Amino acid sequence: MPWYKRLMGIDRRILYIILAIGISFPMFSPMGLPIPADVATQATWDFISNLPAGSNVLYSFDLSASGLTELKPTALVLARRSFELGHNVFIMALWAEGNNLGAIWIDPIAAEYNAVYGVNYIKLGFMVNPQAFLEQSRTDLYGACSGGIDANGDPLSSFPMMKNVTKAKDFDVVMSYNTGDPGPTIWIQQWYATENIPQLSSCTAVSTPTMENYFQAGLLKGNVGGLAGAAYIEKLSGQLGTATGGMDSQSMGHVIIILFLILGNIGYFAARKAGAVK
Amino acid sequence: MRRTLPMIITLVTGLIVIFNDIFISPAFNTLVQTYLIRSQTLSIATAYALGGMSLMRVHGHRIARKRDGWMNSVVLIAGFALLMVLGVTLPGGHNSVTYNWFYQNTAVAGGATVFSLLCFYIGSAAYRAFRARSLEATALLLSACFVMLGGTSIGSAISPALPQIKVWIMSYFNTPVIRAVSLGVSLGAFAQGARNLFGIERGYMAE
Amino acid sequence: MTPFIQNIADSIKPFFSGWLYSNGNLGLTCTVFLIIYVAALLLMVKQARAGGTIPKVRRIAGLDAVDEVVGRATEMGRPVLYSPGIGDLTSADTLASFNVLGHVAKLIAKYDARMIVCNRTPSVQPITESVVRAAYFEVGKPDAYREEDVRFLTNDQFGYAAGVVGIMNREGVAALVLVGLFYAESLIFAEAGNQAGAIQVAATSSTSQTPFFIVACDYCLIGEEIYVAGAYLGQDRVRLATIVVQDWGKQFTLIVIVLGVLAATIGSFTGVKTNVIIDLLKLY
Repeated sequence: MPWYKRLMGIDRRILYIILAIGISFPMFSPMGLPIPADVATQATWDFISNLPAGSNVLYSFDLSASGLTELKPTALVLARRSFELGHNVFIMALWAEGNNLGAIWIDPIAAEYNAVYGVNYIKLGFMVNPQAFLEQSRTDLYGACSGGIDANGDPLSSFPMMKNVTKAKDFDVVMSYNTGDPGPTIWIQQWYATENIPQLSSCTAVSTPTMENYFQAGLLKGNVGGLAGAAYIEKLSGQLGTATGGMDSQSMGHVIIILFLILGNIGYFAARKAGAVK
Repeated sequence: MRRTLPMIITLVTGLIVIFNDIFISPAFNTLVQTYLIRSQTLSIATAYALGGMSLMRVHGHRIARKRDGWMNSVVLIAGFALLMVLGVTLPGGHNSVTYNWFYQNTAVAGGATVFSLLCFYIGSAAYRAFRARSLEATALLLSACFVMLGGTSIGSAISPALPQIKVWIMSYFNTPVIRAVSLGVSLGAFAQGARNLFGIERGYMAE
Repeated sequence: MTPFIQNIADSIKPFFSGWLYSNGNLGLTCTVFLIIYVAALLLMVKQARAGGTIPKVRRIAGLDAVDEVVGRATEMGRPVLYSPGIGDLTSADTLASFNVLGHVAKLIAKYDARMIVCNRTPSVQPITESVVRAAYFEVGKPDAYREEDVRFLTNDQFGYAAGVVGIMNREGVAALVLVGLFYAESLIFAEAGNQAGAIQVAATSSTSQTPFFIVACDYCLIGEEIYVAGAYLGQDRVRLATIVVQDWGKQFTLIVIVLGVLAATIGSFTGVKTNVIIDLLKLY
C-alpha cells in the first residue's frame, strides 16, 4: 500500500493515543505557559467587581456535568468575589443538573465567607419551566419560584434578603453558567430585552463565538468563554486553580490537532499528485 | 373536531402569550401567569412521569425477554429506583449529602466522561475531513489554525500577534457570519412558529 | 436622537404608553413588523390556496438525500436512527423536526424498513410516538408499528448522547437523520455515526453545532433550511408559499441594515452623532 494511503488511513485509535499522551503530559510536567488576555472576560470581572456591597447578584447554573472543567473555576472565582464584596448572592438553575452542581460548588464557599443563609446567600432552586419562570418573575418572583419556596422548600417570605427582591428588576445582574439551551439567549430575550437587566455569561468554548456576538452587540455585559476565559479570570482574581492548570493540556491538544491537520493534508496532496484522489 | 379543536387551542393560547408581551393588560397577564404557565408546568411535569414510565416499560420488556444486554437494563432500573427512593425519602431530598454523593459519583462523572470524548472525536474528525480541497477549504484550514493557536497559551508564547489575529478573525469574519445566519434563523423560526400557530403546519398533531 | 424624530417620538408616546410595552424602545417597531410579517404570510397562504403562482424553492441537497438515505438503509436491511434533537416543544427546531419525522416515518412504513427514534425530552416523546404511529396508519400498516422503537432515553444531555451512540453500534444503523436542536453532543453523534459506517443527514439552526455537522456528516442543512424541510419534503404548495415570506423578511432587514450603515457612514463624515435609521426604529 502506498505510504500516503497508509498515512490517510491511520487507525483512529492511534490518533486517540497520541492525543491522550499529549494532553496528559502537561498534567505531570506543567509547562507554565502564559494565559492570554480576553476582553469579554475582563468585562465580566470588572462588572462584578464594580457592583457595590448589597447588590443583588443572581447566578444561574444552566449547565450539565459537561461544564465542570470550563465553568466550575469561573463559578468559584465569581462567588468568592461576590462574597468578598458583600453582594447578596442568589443561586438558581434552569437545568436540573445545574441545581445540584450549583449547590455543591457554592455552599462550601458560602461557608468559607461565613455567609448566612437567607441574609446574604440563598438558593432559589431548579425552575422546571424556564419560559414560565422568566415570564412570571418579571412581575412576581415569589410566584415564579415554585410558588414562593426556596430550594429547601422554605417560604421565600421568611428570608430577610428576599424582602426587597420581589421581581426581576430587583436584581442588579444575572450571570448564566451555561452549556446549552436554555441559557443566555433566553435570559437576554426575556429579562434584558424587556427589563433591561444586565446579563453576564460563562459558557463552554463551543458557544463562545455566539456569546462573543452578543457581547459585541452589547446584549451581554461580559462573557467568560471556555477554559481560556476561566484561566484568565483566575489570573485576574489571583486565585490560580484547575483552569490555569488545564491550559497547558489544552495547548498541547490544539497543537496535536494542528499536526493531524498537516499530516492528513500531506497524505491528501500526495494522493492527489499520484492520481489516487480527485 | 379532532383536528379543529387542537388547532383552535394552539391559536388562542399562542395569541394570548404573544399579546401578553406586546400589550399592557392585567387580564392577559393574569391569564398567562395564573392559567397558561401553570398548565405548561403541569404538562411538563406529567411528561417527565410519562418519560420515566416509557423508560421502565422498554427496559422492563428487555429484562423480561432477556434480550441482548439485558443486564444493562437491570443496572438502569436499579439506578433509577435508587435515586428516586433516596430523593423522596431522605431528609433534604435531592439536596441531601447522600443523594449528592450518588449523583456526583455517577451522573456527573458519567456526563463529564462522555463530554470528554469530544476531544478525541474532534481529533479524528479533523484528521479525516479537513482537507485543503479548494481555496475556500484552505482559507478555512488556515483560519482554524490561527484561531486554535491564538486562543491558547502556546499561541501567546509563540507570538503576541497570534491572539490578535485570532481576535481579528473572530471579530471581522466569524461574528458577521454568525449574525447573518442568526438573522435568517430568527426569521425562519418566526415563520415556523406562525405556521404552527395558524395551523398551516400540523407536524405536532401527527399530520 | 435626531431632533425631528425626537418630536415625533414625544408626540406619539402618550398615545401608546398606556397599552403598548416599550420593550427598550423597540416595542412599536417589533409590533408593526410582526403584523406585516404575519399578514404577508397569510396573504401568501391565501394566494397558494387560490391556485396562484408561488416562487420555486431552490434545490436543497440535504433534503433530497433523505429519501436516498432511507432507501439505502432499506436495501442494507439495517435500521435508520432518527433524533429530534435535545430541544423541547418551545424550540422551533423541534417543531420543524416533527415534519421531517412524519415524512421519514412514512417512507420507513412504505418500505417495511425499521426506524429507531431516540428522544431526550419527555414532552417530545408522546408527539414523536403519535407522528410515527400516524405514519404507519396512513400507509395502511398499523400492525407494523413497534412501540419500543420510539424511545425516551434520558433527560441528561450526555447520557442521551451515550445512549444514542450505544444504540447506533448495537443495532448497526445504516443511516442517521439528525434534525432538531443540538448542542455539544452533535459531534459525538456525527463522529460515532461515521465510525459505524452510517450515512448521515443533519439539520440544526444552532450556529455553534453546524460546523461539526458539516465536517462529519454526509449532508447538512445550514441555518433556516431546517424550517423549510417540512414544506420541501411534502411539496405542499401552501407551506412552500410561506417560505418566500421568510426571504422577504431577510430582504427587508438587509435594506434596513444597508440604510443604517449608510446613515452611520454619512454621519461620521459630517460629524452628526445620531443615526436616522436607528432613531426611526426606536420611536417607541
